[in-house]
Amino acid sequence: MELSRKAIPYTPVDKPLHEMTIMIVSTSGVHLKDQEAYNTDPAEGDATFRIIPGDVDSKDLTVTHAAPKDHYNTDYPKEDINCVFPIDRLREMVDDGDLGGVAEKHLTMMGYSMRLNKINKETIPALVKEVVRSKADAVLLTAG
Amino acid sequence: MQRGIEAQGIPTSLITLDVEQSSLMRPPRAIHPVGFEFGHSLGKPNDKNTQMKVLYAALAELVERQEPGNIHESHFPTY
Repeated sequence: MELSRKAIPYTPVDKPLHEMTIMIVSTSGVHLKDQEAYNTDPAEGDATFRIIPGDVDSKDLTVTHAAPKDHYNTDYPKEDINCVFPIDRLREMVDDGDLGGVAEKHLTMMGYSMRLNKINKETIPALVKEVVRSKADAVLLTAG
Repeated sequence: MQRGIEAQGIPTSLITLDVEQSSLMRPPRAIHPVGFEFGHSLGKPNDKNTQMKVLYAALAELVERQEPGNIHESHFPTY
């Protein structure tokens, strides 16, 4: 799927937030503690993504990221994953009646991977398919 | 990635600290929490108040009519 650099895809929203289900897609390197960690070897990079179950306990999540620590200090999200992956905050919005729901799964990648060709040709189309299948109304994107 | 998702008819909103990189991609909807450091783009650990404000600001982008391609600077004094 080749997208024009000039035209910006833009999907209007016709629902209020309190009727929308939101999915998180993040390049912050978040994953379940028992999922395979991202490959932080810069020579290899990592073009994979992880599926995070929607009912995950935020305490079961951690972060692996190849970026230098002075650029992205992963100590913060390891202490509280909501620093970069606001799953508990989304649930609180739902509890408050301000959001319709939280998606049944979320998707994560590790930025700083340098395998851009593989990511653009393979990873992103596969990831987009997962988003479309999920029936989420909208996606919140976060990085580190 | 954002453009790929949006091209499938699913609206997106981005929280970015890397304004330079993100600007090149001309995101459909985005906020930049000004002054935040990498590692806590929604707010510091356990600062639920700021995290919630950033989340609300990002999701508000979805339902406000946008001129796509801009990154809106947002200020959060509680950070």
